[in-house]
Amino acid sequence: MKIMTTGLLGIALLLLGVSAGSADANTNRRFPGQNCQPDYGAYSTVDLHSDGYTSKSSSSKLAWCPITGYRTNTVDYDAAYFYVYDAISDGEVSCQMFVKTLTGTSYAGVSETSGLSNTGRITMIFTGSELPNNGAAVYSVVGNSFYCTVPGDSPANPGAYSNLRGYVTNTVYN
Amino acid sequence: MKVATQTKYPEPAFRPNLTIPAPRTHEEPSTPPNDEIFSEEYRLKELEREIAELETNLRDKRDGSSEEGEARELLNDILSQLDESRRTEVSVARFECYSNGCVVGLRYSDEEAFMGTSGQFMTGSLAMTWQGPRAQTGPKPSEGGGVESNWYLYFSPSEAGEGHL
Repeated sequence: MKIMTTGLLGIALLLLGVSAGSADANTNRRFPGQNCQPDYGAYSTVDLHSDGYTSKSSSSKLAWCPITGYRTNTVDYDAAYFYVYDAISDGEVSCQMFVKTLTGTSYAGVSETSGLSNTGRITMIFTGSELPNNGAAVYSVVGNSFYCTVPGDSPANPGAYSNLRGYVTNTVYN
Repeated sequence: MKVATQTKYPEPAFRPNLTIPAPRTHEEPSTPPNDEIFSEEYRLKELEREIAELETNLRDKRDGSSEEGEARELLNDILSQLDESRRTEVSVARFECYSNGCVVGLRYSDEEAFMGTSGQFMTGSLAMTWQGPRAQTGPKPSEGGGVESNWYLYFSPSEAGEGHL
């Protein structure tokens, strides 16, 4: 009897688990700024040991920040968030998301910027329509990244550097 | 270019108050076997589907808008920045604007010419100045030889209305 009760309880919990697992909840995926890779030629000026991706250069630099770990080859974004530290009053951080598919088609979203002020911590919020393919599903994906411009240092803010601290994607699929 | 909301996120970092939209219910597309995925036939079939979706998103035809002028200017600027040898390998076969954006059809002498210039449109400094979403289709064999690819320049969501597509 005890075995049967335990068995029934197990089946009930299993069904509950399956039911909860099959709910179409969105997935938030989080990435540190240290994930970001400098574009060609910028390696010697990047500091990944501080509070994220910091470009210690006198000129602005480009960085690719990969989005990985999906279990399917489909992406379908509802939102994304990019956290930056803006330390430069006359330069701004800007980022946009890219998706590339097996067919060779590339999608780019809208560019968000941190603004021309050294406001400190900023969250750049991307809504669905500001993301690649206007937030609709993209199939057969082979590459997915943010592409960011990080300003170099400035006489206006000596010794200060802006950096990419991390990013979060909110997607329908896992 | 849209400026981010100048609100600081609450401490501790990386705990944003994410607004999760209502769950959507749809079937995840099935993945064909690997040997089919890597075939040229599958690639072209997928490419046709992508092009059809991108064209649908353009919606109704519209001429003479200010964004159309900006799109044409961007196209001319990007083409003029190409190396002289590359410029002869690319020709504009189509330029049309609709209520949600413009499409530019380009013909390349071969796939190498496409590969050599495609970066100018997606990650080139001029292309990055376009404020709305963009797309560039993969190379498709052209009837007259060479390959063709379309550029899609959508108008900024903030200008055309949020969630209009």
